[in-house]
Amino acid sequence: MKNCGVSSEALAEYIFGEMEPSEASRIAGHIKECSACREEIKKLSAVSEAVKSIEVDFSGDIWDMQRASIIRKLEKKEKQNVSIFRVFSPGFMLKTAGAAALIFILAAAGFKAFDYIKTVESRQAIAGNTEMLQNLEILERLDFYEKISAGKKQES
Amino acid sequence: MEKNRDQKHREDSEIIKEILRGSGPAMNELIKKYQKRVYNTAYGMSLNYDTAWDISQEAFVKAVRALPSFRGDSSFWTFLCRIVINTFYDHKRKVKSPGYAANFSDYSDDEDKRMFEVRDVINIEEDFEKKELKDRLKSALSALTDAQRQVFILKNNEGLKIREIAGVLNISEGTVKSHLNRSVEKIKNELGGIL
Repeated sequence: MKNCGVSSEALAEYIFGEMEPSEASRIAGHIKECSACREEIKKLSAVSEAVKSIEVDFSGDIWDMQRASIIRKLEKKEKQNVSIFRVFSPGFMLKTAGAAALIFILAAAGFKAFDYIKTVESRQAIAGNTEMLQNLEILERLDFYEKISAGKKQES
Repeated sequence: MEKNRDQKHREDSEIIKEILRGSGPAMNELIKKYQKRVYNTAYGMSLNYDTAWDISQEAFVKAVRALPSFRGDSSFWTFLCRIVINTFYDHKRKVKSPGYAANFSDYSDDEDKRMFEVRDVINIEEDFEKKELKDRLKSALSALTDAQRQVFILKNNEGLKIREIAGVLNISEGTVKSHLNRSVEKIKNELGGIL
């Protein structure tokens, strides 16, 4: 049990290099005098070294393989991205909007032309029907006058 | 000679600029530079060789794709650490989600699916004593909370400053110190007899 007044937290900060230089040199001086702190520092260093030892390494070709795999994944993502970006890119959207506007204009013009043709056709049809009615009316009148003149002849 | 040395230790910012200009070799260079650190950080978090492999791959894919948003306010390594931590949590969520398949990657249906056990390709030459220590260490680290383990690994193995860890984990420096002290105590107690 330490009773020198230096906390374990302070010793951990010292070990991990988180102390101000002046404080670190004070602790370094204290460690020389205090066997309990020396013991604690020894344990902390052992913990630190032990945890560092969990690090692993692979042979060069395994690292190469991982790198190649990462780059392939990136390229694959990039391809997917390009197609998505194409859809949402300002250029693509402008072109799409232009094409849509053109289609709309053409469709509207076509509809208008169709409407015009229909109107002309119906006007012609109306004119034709009117002429036919007028002709019928003339024929009916002629018939009427013929009947009258035939009646007058019989009376005389 | 001087030029070769310079090329070997190029600044990250310089490599990143080249990647953003579309350089494949620069991308290879950046991944190679951090590959081992990323794998070991992922292993420190997950304590599983296969999971660490998948997390590290995924983290690199995310990091390279996020490069255009990297402003250089922090070092590239702390930027990468943040991505490794996020990927670690994504992995945890995926493992817990129903319908999770054997392999973590988003691309588990592609040709890059890992077809081997990572443990089989690790360079491990250890005697019985070391193996016992490693088993105890693993159990000690497993007993920590995720946050305590992350703080301890980033501090002890990666040498990040408390301020940097606070930035990576998005927590206060006081919380980082508290996690660090608790993790040190727990590991020390767990390994007490064999150190």
